[in-house]
Amino acid sequence: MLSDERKLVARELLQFLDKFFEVLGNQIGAIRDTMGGLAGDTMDRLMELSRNTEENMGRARQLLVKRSDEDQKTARLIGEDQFFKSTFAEAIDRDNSDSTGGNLAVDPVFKARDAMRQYMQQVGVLDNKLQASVMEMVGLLSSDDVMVQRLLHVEQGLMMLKSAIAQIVSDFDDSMAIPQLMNILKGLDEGLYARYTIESEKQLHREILRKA
Amino acid sequence: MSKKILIVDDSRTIRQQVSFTLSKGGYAVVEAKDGADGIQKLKANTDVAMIISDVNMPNMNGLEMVEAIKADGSFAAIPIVMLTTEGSGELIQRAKDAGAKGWLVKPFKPEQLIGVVSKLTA
Repeated sequence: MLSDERKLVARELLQFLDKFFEVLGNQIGAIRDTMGGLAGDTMDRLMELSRNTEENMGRARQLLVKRSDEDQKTARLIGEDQFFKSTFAEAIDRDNSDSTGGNLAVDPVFKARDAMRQYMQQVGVLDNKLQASVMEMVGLLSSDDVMVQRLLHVEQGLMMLKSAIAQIVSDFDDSMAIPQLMNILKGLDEGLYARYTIESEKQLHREILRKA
Repeated sequence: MSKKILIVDDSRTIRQQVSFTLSKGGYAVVEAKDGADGIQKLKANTDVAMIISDVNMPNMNGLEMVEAIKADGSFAAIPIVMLTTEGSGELIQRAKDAGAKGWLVKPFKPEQLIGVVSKLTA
């Protein structure tokens, strides 16, 4: 049979453990929420990135099709590697054979240059949007450091708890009274609190373990 | 020539993320893995225009590094910004007293980081 003092010690210990595990449970919950948020936000950015790529490449392609519709021969080459090469080659040939220069508005070199300029503009818009999405994702990923630190503190808390329990159990029959127990628990509380590096985990610890 | 920024953080991923962000902003970057390494890298790169540092790191923490840099006349003018998960008023005040110019909390926003670097290196 346990003496009244031992029963009191056991009850105090259980109450502390209850709160201690609430702190650790909340830490793990915060990690889970951060991971969930990170994955969700990253997926949003990836989908946005994919959408932007499709839309802008579609617009850029339309520009080329529109330009090349004026020239059936060129239109047949859309989508093939030979497109630009042929357009330019043809234009250069024509340019070489016509020393008078000709009309700029219908000059194939002029048309090809203009088409290319508009195409590159569209690709430039796409590149800016892609860069912005990538930057946002990089920012989101920086929350991994917060998760790593929280996990470390959960691990440290469990190791400290293991040592404290070992000490309580080894002295339980001989000298473990309420003051000794409270001393060990206070050490555990303060030891873990001192390891925190994130303001919200300090606040959580105070609210749960140090609430009057 | 690109302005050089020293990033001090024990997390390799944070160093990568900050380096990537700043390089996209047109800055050159030097990395250090703790405060002691930060001071060594600073001595090897005397053209560093700004330092971004974590607070909690092994060997020498960020605040100790700020204090050491500010105590050394040769580097005292370099602006230092802390980038950390910490947010306690006491620590922020300590950093300010030591000479830090700013305090950013992780996770960071790339445009905010570039804005701060741009302002302090102008």
